[in-house]
Amino acid sequence: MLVVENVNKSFGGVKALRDISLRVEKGSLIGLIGPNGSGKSTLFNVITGVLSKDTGNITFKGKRIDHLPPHNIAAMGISRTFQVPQISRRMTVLENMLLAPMGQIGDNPIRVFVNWKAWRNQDRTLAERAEEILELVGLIRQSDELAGSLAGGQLKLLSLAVALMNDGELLMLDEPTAGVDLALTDQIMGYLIQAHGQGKTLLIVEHRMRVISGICQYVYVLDAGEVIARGEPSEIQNNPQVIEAYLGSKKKVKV
Amino acid sequence: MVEFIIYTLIMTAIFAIVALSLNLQAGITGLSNFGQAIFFAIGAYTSALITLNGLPFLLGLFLGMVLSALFALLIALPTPGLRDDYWAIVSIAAAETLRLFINNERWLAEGPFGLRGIPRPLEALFGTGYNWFYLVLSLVCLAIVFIAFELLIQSPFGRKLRAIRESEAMITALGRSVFRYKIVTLMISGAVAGLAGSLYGPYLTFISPEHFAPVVTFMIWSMVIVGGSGNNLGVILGAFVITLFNLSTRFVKDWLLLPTDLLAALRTLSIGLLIVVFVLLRPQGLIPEKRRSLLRVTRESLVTERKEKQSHAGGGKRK
Repeated sequence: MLVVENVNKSFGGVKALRDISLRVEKGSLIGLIGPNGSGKSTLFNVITGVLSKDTGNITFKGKRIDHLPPHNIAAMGISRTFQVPQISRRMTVLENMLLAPMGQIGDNPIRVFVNWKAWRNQDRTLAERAEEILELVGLIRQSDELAGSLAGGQLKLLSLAVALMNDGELLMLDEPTAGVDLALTDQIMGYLIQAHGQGKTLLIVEHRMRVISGICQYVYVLDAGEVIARGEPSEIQNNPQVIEAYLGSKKKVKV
Repeated sequence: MVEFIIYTLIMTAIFAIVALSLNLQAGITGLSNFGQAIFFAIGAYTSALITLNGLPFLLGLFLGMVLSALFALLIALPTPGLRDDYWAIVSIAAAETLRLFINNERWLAEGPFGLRGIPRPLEALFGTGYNWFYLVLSLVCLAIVFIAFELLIQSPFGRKLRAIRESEAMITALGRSVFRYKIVTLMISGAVAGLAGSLYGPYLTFISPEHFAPVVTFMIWSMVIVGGSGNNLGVILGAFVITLFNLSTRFVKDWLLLPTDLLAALRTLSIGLLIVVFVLLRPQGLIPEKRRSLLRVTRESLVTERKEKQSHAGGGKRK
């Protein structure tokens, strides 16, 4: 579904991504791990068009996307979350959810007045669906509260809920459990498995190997802008190069 | 005294419309426009030129709105990404350029001498009670703009604007072009300022480039800041407070033996001071932005549904 081929990206003299290639097949659950500063978020930003690549190809559903503006890439069916949740804090939780669905009649300011019954009915239907998702992630009680009043972990949940509401076929999650306690981490991972069970394709960025190895089918390991290992989680965990990247090379580590 | 009250209210209504148009950009979408007076001017000049040539008032009003919207489009398109800071610079530069152009030409709108004798719509019909008619006309226009904006801000379109104010990255990631939303907003805002301009000219019957100097833009800003950025009702109150202050301080010259030009400067100065005081002590304005939500009808039907679900679940059967 998503194919990244030989992508390079430099910031001045710093090579942030070197010849990165990866594939995300439809219906898979892929992990992207690596220590801080290894280029995971840069790769995310290059795929979603927020940053432009220097060289290489990126295709999604068979179409080149590496020259498209970010909103067009997102509209093709890639929903993403950010490390720091991007949420409108001065809007209610439910209103944030209703930002997500595509094809809203009331997105056109003329139709706001001409078809005002139609968009209100649509709003109502969408609000029902939004509340179902909020129920699922346990934010239903906060539905009418300002998003700014939510705690940090709840903001993470809300941004995940918004991404689910956006309904892209590919869900790209940038550290969905960063800064979240262990109980909530398990809970979030549970939702991700559930979303995967419902047919979503997922690409998840993490820097904690333990969190991701439990749920992903296939893992790419990034270090200093390069893919240093790839494979099933069990293989990866015992790969000496990976251990070196995470723990440093000077210490001898028994495998 | 009655004449003064009517005059104040008509001016309030006209400037409230301009202030609402600025609020849509600055308060709701987070785009700072430091040249809003020029859209007001385009509306006023277009409608004046149309009616002075014997064509109907409504045609002038319509064309004034269209041209204001097109000018917004013209200067917005080349602004990189329509970033807030770039837009602030582009808008003030474009506004001054166009104003100086009008000030220096003679063939179109008499340059600095302005346009005189702008016809008033339906003047023959109302005779001596004309100011009452104009008061009703401008209040009706204000009410229409207010209701339309309230609906727009709560619609899916307006929700995107309020989200753009806080996080453009979010709206982009949800597959929408932030640039498109901003352009459309600037065109709506320009058109509404143009509407106010078409009301302004016939009431004064005389307009000149002086009427649309940068200080007018800052007057409009002070209405938004004092009234309550983001709150349409607050902005209308702000327009009333500032207009009343502006008009009533004209009487000060009868009591204070100071040169009139000094008094005029003091008036502008005190509005500047008012802005500073509000920004420091009450940044949310007289009426702070209220918490918006879905339209009440939508919310109510959701709540009843939730209750039904709960009673259903309580009955022992879950789907």
